[in-house]
Amino acid sequence: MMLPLAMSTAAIGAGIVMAGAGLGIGLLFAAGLQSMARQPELQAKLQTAMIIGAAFIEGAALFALVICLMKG
Amino acid sequence: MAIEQQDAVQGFINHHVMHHAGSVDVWNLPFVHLKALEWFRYDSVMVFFVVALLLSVAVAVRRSYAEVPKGIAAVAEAYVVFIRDQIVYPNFGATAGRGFISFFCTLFVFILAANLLGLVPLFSTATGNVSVTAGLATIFMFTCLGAVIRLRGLHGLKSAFIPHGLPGWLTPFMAVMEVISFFSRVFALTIRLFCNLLAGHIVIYSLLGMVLVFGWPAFPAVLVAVAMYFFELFVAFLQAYIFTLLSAIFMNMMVNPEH
Repeated sequence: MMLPLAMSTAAIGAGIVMAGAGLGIGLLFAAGLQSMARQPELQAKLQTAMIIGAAFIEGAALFALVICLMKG
Repeated sequence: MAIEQQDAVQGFINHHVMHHAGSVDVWNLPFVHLKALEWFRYDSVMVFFVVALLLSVAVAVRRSYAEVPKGIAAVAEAYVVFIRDQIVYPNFGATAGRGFISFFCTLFVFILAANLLGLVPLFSTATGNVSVTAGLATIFMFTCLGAVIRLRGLHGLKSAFIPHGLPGWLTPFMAVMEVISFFSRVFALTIRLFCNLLAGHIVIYSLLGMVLVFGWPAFPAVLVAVAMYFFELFVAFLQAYIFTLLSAIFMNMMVNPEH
């Protein structure tokens, strides 16, 4: 059985990670949707670029989450 | 909440998370106890099952192949054209990309089949196991190095890791950085696929675990779990696409370092 303190610090870490990743993905998609509204003909290209960017942010968040899981 | 109940829920969730990591506990459908079904708890069995399934589909496609494909061959052709036009040609170009189509098609269909079969009850998610995704990323890594040597020669391998136009004293430092970033990309591919699949399953099992704690009042959690299941269907396609697309982008960065 793991210590409650270690568990809660891992949970707090996961929360901080999620805040950062949420901010990053939110900013990314806000900018992406804005540029799509301005230039609808570029929608397909922008969507691909957005998904790639979101995958990178998500990857960084998941790195941190794995560490939280390992320590929790 | 009583301590025993808490332990029961913890045990339930741990059990199902561990089940996806290859535990030996018994899990079966209510009223159905087929010994053979228990084999599908193991990720290694699921990998071979996916391979067998895809091989039989490939044989079926080959059998029904004609000048104007019909049925399953038409689906396969549409799929290959999708990978070619969406993933391979935009990255490698139409001439150099031809040889890469089969690799990326295999990668996509294997990950997609493993993801989707993981959503079938009683079947384990092969891609929710870090060893499987690490294996996929390792295959990508060696294919990447092989493609660079094949297309650009050993000199190309050097120029993939050492950007040209650098002052001489910076070269060893940058080479080390490039090697580290290459391995971190491979590691990121591993973790992204594994974590997305595992996290989705943990969410579903946590929601269903609420039923054990609260009983009937937790019925909305079941509805949310069903909604999450459909979200997982979407994630299965998205992660297969992202893994394939990022592999193509990373491979192109190695093969054509100028761009």
